[in-house]
Amino acid sequence: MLGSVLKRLVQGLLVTFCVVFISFVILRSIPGDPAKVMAPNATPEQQQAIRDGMGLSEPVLTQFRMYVGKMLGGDLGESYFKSDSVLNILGQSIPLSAILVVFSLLVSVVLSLILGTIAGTHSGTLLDRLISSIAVLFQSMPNYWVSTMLVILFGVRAGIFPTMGYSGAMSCVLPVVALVLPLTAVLTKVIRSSLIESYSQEFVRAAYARGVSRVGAYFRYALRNSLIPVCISIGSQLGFLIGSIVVVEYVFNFPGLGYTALNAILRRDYNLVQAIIILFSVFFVVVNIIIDLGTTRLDPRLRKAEGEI
Amino acid sequence: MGQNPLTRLVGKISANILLTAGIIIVAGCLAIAIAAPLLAPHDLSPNPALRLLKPFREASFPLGTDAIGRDILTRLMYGIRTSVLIAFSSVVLAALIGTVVGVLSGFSNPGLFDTILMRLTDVQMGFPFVVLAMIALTLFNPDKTSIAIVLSLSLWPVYARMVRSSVMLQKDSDYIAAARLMGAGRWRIYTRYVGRNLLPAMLPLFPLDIAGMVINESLLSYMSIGIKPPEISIGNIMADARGYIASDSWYILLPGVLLVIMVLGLNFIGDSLQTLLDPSLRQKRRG
Amino acid sequence: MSVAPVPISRAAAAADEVILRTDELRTYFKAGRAGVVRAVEGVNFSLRRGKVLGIIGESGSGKSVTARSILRIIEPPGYIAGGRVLFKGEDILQIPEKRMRTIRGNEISMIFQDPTTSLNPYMTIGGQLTEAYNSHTPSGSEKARDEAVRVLKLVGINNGGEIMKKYPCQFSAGFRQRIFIAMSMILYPDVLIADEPTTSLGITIQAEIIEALSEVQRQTGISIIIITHDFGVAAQFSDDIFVMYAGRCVEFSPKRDLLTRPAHPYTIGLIRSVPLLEERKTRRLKSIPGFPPDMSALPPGCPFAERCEFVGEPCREEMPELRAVSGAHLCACHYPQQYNVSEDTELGVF
Repeated sequence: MLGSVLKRLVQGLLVTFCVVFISFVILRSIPGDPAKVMAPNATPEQQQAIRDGMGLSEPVLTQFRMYVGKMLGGDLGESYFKSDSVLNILGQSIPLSAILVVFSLLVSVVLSLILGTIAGTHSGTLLDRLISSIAVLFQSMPNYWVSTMLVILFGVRAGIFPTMGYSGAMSCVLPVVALVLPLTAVLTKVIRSSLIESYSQEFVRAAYARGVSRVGAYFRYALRNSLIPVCISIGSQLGFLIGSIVVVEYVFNFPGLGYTALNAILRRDYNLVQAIIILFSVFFVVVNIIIDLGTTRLDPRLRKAEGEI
Repeated sequence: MGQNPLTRLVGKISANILLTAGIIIVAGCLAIAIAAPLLAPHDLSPNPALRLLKPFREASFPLGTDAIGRDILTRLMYGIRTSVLIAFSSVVLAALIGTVVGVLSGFSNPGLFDTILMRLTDVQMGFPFVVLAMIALTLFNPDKTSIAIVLSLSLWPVYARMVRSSVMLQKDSDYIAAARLMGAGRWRIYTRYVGRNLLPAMLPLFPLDIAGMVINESLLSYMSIGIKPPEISIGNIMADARGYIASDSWYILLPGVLLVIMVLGLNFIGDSLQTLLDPSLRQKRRG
Repeated sequence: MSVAPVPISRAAAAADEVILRTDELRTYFKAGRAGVVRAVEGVNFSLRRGKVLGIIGESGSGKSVTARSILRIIEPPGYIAGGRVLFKGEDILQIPEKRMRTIRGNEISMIFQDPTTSLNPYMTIGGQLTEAYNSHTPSGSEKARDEAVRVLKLVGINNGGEIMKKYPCQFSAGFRQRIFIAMSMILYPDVLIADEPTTSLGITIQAEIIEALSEVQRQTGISIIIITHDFGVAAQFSDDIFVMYAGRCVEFSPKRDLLTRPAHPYTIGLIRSVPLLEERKTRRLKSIPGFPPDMSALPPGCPFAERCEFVGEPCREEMPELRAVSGAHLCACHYPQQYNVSEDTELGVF
């Protein structure tokens, strides 16, 4: 157990390091000079001074060494534009994005458990067809379009919810809805098909044969055995969710991490972009480790293969 | 579980209806994509006299005109052409890269090569697509080729992993061993045995992934980092329309609905293929 | 008779009391738009208390469906189309599902074919062992555990307490089947249905499982229905034998009669095709020519007619009734044969 955690952690660290390195090099080769973006009217000498001040005149590898050194000391540098430390900017935008992620995950999981169970236990019926069709429909709608439609429906027309920026809890409603719709669609399909798969197994019939009720068989057999595929797909959907967040925040001008990231890239705000990339990859690595360990814990056959039992 | 003959019947037909509907939609889109220059009713020159003409008002401009008076139907046709081209080529590219990496990785499985390749897919998947695309598209000029490459960058790890796990399942199987004993060479095993068994698993993925890439391409254009005017994509038509959501919300509705229909068609095909090709969903139990 | 040794007398409960009887049981499966597969078509048999009934038939003959119909765990597209299942005199096809649940696992329980799929891989052995106990009796988990340990001893597993914390994947298939037998015995039901309990196991393990079942039967006096396609298993283990073909009963008789004087041509064919070690040098196996009929398009007459060497005029038109050939020996054939197997040297059966 501990061994595999350590192994995964080390691998995760390596992956993060690679991401940091590759993105560092790529970022510095993006055409467009922060000094020119920051001070377009300055003389070449002044711009050179800005570059020197930010350490941009050094060779890329030297810059990288300095960056990693500072990073390990907990210093992610200053934003070039917001005249604030990267840590502070992240501190403001992370909670906003976290709210979106947590709420949309929660709502989606609950909704898709209900819908997936209905569809999976009535597979082949009209009800199942209906749920599955609606799921495909919402899965086929691009996030940004759904967001824009929500803006038109609830913002522009009805004026019920704020559609731009962040001004309290109400501002989160529409972005969360935009994230929930496709996520619920995907998870509903996964839950439905893994329930059908579990129900087709012989041990469900064996459970019925020893007098277990339908409800009992659902919780103890069908649902329980569907947990692993569902967890795996939640894990893979998290990566997708992060991507969606960037988009949805862009449409709603919601000042979370994604929105900050986009603006930072457009403005060549290297330090900020770099920090956000690190954050994303750490998040992804951690989620993957948790999912890996979780599925191993849940599946005795994997535990046996790992030599735990 | 509550399956009566009626609903079973409905299930059977609707699987085929969906497949048929999907094929019709996709065939239609393909036809438009190929023949857009022939089918388009107008050219793409602006006409200031016809700014933001509402749809279904005038027979010669059935879907209305945009902010500088260009026929929206014509623009949508060219948009489909771009979307289909980019999405299709990016999926083909991703599948090719993914298959090669997956096969190599799977056959070298417990080994450094495999570990490196798989961690590489980790890195790839760890990058949120939009951020990756933004960085890449500021590095390279966002034309069709570079967008297709960027899109396939986000997709190839999926194929690589699928191929790899399939190879790993198969390479120790008896029929591969038997083929080896019969003197089948390495390439023959790769192509004839492993490849043949991969195809049923990959086939439904193509339409599903093309759908995903259509969405992603339009997303990039919508965020103004993808296809740049004067090239037309459904995404940048919507980006145009975004300025008018308060006054003329029909404008953004049209390309969106078109996009959803196109993606739905592709998803119908993918889902139906998945059901049709999955033996575990087809099996009948008897005593 | 050169079949393996048979325990002569079992715990003789009230002699010849019928505990479970089916009467024209019919189970169909919907297939396609209008098609129906008549998997079980009018099955009649009776199980005597404390006895073992063997149901024999080829795969696809409707044995398992019969077993599942008795417990009413047939799932769509299958359904019970008619008939009666009389358990202790009551038709359990008519009682409400809720009461049926108190019978399953409690009064009638079932062992499945493949212990690698019939145990939930994600649940501990203990969790599944005590499940029937917990869902039928209100007493605490402590009591359930003790019961489980005791019932595991019954099938020859002595370290029950340890095993219960483990998962199915940690044991061999044969061992899992033992556990499954214990599981189905935890409430000491009146009837145990064993659906091909040895088919998926290796040959030496098969013998062990049959031995375990005999031991359980000897100690508890439970009535057992054993479903098998293996004539040897049925011959060794059962008191009565019931032969199924294409969803129908073709012959039903006390074992001795059936083995020595098989009346139905299909039974005769089956007996001929049993390999017996002692006879290997002198006799060649005879298989039954042809294939089982297509269950979705059965001919009007006897389903075996196409393969039967004694086929006559009425066979292709009229389904023969189950009639007594002698005493308790029933046979559904227009031309019941009179073979005396032990003397039949020409056929070389025994």
